[in-house]
Amino acid sequence: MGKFTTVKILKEEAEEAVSLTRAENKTEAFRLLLDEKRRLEKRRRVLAKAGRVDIEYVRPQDRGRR
Amino acid sequence: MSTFDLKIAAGAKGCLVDTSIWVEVLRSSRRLVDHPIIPIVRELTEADSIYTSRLIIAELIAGARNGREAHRLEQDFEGYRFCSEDLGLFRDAGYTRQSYMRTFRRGPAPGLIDCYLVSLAKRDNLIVFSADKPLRSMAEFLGVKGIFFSIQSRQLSFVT
Repeated sequence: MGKFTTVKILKEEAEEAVSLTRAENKTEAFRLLLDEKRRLEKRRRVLAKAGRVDIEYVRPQDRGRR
Repeated sequence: MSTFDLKIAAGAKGCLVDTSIWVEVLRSSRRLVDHPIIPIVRELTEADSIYTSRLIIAELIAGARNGREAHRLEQDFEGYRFCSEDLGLFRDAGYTRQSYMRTFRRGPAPGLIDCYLVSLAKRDNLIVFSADKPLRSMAEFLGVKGIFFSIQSRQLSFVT
């Protein structure tokens, strides 16, 4: 079973979230905003890996022809 | 020409960043400061213009040195936009390669992965960003615009 967290949010912020996301209700709006936040965080982590990952280019037919 | 100029010129909705570019970004020892492709990837990321494919993720997973790194890469790349993909694209890739082979009988033909990715870019109105010569040949063949990086000369070129 997943964990639940209760957070208090100002009414104005909740209304802004609904307006931004065009969601049907406040819960859906915050779910969408949290999803977007997680997506941005993942993209940031990819860029933070620049120069740090030892990875091989594996497209076999292209070996030695790049 | 900036990446945005190119995108606008092409009327594209985004950029399909090829595995060859991701590998170059991830393993580059000349990180951040003077590698010519990193500012472009950063710019495209900030503009939320990067699209990717399940096939690109599969290549990154296959190229990772261990399972843990592969898993991390898979998780983190979920932050990019994914093209909608279906089995019809493999058919398109097959016909595209067949057509290319009939047109250019000499020289090495691009592989099916190159054909698949360029077919995907064409279908979804994306420009491509690649360091892969066969993929460039295929993009030129199908009239798909893009940014290309030469690993030997470390030069960028634009196909518009």
